[in-house]
Amino acid sequence: MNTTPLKLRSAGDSTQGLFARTQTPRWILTLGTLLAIGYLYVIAFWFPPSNLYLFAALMFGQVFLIWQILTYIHTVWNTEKTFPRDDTYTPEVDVFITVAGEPTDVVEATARAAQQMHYPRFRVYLLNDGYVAGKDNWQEIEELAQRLGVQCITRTVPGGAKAGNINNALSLTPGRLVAIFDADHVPHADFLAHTVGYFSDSRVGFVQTPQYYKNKDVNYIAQSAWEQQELFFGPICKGKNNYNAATMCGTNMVIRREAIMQVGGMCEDSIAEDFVTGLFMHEKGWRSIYVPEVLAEGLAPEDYLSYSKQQHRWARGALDVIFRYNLFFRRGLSISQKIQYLSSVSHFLSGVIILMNALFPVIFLFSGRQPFQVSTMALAAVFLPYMFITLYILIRSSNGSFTFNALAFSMGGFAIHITALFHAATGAKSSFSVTSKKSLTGNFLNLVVPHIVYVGVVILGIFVGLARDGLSPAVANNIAWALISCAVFIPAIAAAAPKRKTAAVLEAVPVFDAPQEPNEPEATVFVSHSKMRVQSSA
Amino acid sequence: METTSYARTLRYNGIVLLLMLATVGFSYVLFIHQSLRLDEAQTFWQVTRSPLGVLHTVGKDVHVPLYHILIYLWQMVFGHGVETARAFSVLLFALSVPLLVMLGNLVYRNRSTSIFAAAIFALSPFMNWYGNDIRMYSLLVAVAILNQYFFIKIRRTDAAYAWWGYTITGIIGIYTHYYFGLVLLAQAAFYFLYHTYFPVDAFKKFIIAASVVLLSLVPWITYVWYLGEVGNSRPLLPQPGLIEIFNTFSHFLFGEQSYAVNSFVVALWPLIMLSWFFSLQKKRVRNPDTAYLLFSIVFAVGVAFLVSIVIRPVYLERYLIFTLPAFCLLVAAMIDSYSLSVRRIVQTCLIIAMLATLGIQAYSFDTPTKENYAAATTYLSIHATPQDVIILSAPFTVYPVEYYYQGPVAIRTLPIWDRFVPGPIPAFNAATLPDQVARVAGKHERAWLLLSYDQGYEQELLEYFDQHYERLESQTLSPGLTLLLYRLRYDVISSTAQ
Repeated sequence: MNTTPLKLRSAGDSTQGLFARTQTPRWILTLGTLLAIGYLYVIAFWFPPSNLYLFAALMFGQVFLIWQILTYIHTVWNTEKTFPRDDTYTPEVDVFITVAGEPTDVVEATARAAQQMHYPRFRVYLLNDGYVAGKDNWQEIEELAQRLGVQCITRTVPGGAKAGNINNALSLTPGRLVAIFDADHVPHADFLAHTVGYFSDSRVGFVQTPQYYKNKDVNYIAQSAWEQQELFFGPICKGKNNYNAATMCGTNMVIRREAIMQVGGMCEDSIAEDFVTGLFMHEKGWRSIYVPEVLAEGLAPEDYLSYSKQQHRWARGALDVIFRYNLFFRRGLSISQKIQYLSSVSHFLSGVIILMNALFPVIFLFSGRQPFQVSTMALAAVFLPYMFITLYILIRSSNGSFTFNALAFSMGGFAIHITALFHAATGAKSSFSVTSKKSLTGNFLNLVVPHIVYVGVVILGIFVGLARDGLSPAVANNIAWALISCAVFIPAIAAAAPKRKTAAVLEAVPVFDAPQEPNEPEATVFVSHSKMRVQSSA
Repeated sequence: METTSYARTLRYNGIVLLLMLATVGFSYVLFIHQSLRLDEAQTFWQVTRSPLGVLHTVGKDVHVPLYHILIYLWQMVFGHGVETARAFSVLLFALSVPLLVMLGNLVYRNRSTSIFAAAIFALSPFMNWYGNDIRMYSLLVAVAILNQYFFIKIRRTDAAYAWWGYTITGIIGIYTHYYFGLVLLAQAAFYFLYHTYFPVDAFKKFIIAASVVLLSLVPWITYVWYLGEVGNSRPLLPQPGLIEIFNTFSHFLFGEQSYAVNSFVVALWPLIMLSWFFSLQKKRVRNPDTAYLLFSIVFAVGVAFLVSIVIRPVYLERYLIFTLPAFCLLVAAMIDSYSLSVRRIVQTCLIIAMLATLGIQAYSFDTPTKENYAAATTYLSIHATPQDVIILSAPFTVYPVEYYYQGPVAIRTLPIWDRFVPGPIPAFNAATLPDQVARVAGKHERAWLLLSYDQGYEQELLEYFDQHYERLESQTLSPGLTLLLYRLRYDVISSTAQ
């Protein structure tokens, strides 16, 4: 029998110290708030507009950015709220591992680790959607389940993607609590021991833990993807605890069956099924807890295509919430919860603002038009202190983990976010696609055409601007602004470019996959031959 | 293994030595032969007397006497002359390079950071300019570095030698420039904000050190108060705007440049934001000494700026030169935190930009800090005749002109000022101007009007001369330094006509 080493915490554990206790001093947060508002006030009312259209666009963008900053400060106002955990509370737990074509060895590692969790009463299920997703290895998963002695639930009738898969399993299992893992998220032995105790409070609906990437050091893309996650699962998720607004992330979490059944199961109408389900549970008054401990380890996308698809899925899901679920007028959510949800989903609107801000200097270089008529230094006087304190708050609240890579990948994702916004606004069909668990090689420059075009346009614009105005302060200033955008777009270009070690170059891949499963209304269940087995702790 | 370490140390020391030599080389090639400036001429004037006389003249000025005493002794040993006096400043500047490396090593425990900080420091056009000045600036910088070194040593080790060093450098610093007080005040404020980073009984020791430094200053303050003339020599400074703060740091890196060059450089300010973006790297450990260095700069610049706004203008970039070493260390540390490829690009670009601006500052006619009294007086030596009169405004510019000009032509000032009579320089009075002009014009045939250091009445003076006399010549010898020739009388044949 193949044995996977049990993941236990040790002194050398690289996850130790992640999301360490840190609270940004409130006076710094207050100062940041004042400077941000002051900056907005000055540019809105003190700086005379030059071109009204550009001024209006700039103000729109700046209001959005200030909203993001203020909601971030709101989020991190208290990042260290703690909750009581009763470790003697040990109800029966069903452990779901959702599978949709992931490599069998990846699933096996997760299933083995799940089996070895230290907890008295739990059952492990492989929720095998490989058959309905048309994946070749669906039978291998059934065989794996048999070999490991875990239950396998294989759907033969599709519907609802991952949410449908979970709902189907919910209808077939009895546990009071349900732990859910993506196929590549290997739980630590103490996962249940560190999460279930919170459910002793009967108001707790779900407990979420971080989505850690164990392959974060494999390459630049995985590293950058993790560094983005680190900000989210660090100060942002910890801060959301303060408002009972933890984000449900769909993996590495435990849900109370009663709570999820009350909201009709996982939401099948959105590709952000987890996010929306969490929202529904909060509406019903259930409490959520985010536990900032790495209790499971997953895989980050290792290539730019997988990364883009993952980002697009998240963006599309979040933006669907804006267009389909009116957060302003939903009943049951407190104001702070609404702010937190709006803050989360509005992040994915930033692509438009990033592009717009990047275009201002280009417009100046080509046409000489700018939003307002003010000396460059007057703008610096209000902008730099505000920006400095904002970055300082980011650094301080993230315990120094926020990086340029994370920033560049966030900003460089503007094209993905705009595409997702377009799809969400037009209601275009977009499928749930599983992030690749293997690194794809090839040329993904087709994903960063806007970035490449931008850099080219800037180079041309510099010549045009210099030819028109010479080396004037305004030209220098706008060149500097344009260079900032170039600097944060170039990492995306580098990530998408073909790697030198590439052995086999794939053909250009469509940006976003066609739906992977037929969208049929009813689901029937095919349960494998594996016998149900109750795991007991060693 | 040992050989590699030895080779590294050797290379490291070699770079430090090279940077020291660079400061001397830049001085010899670019700066040491430049014209004496007003402040420098004033130093010369103040030290051309006995040590007690030096104390007496400095006591009437807005400065403290240590540098003047040292330059007096230097001149006794090495002789007189502009180059000799400047060499003293250059020596202190060069010695500041290893001191900065020492401070950098202490703060960051990283040779590459301290070496790059030293490189920025050695190439700084601002530092090179004032590091060649016959003033106290390079001494102030050297003492400030040492003082900060001991301050950080106190925080780290609480060693007795650190307390001694801190106190002694405090006394030297406060006798070098009054603005050194901002270094000590910043340290006091930092201690109160972050006292948990310091040894337990540090408060008592700081009180003792501060008392010793303050007591050491009492004799001088008493003497200055006894002379009662310090208020007479307050320079007229403009009220600073926020732009001055940007200019300060821009000047620290790229020197005081012409309006066009400076406007271009400061307009690139969004790159500051980019530099912050690049520095966003994994940093789990906060370094309190970095916080101190940043605090020491913000405090000094902030206080000088606020006092200038609230009380009266005191904001002078060169008086804040003691913040430059900390600034260089912070810039170097920030760049050192970049990824390797970005770091190399940024370091190379910065070094090239600093070298270019160093050259521009030295050679450009439009460099605003240039005061070409040497060219003015050379021209006067050739063209002025005994029938002429040289009229200087502002009056205190008499120091550099007198230093260079050895000709027979009478030198007067407007407003009329006899510097040997105790009291302030008389204020400009438009009502008495005709009478004053008549007095200095006397029966001279022509007047050479040398205008520099506008004290707010230069334009009025110029208009008066233009309305009442025939302008024969006009030339600008450096920014803000204009030499004009007027014909005063028509009843004699002009000297030039002869």
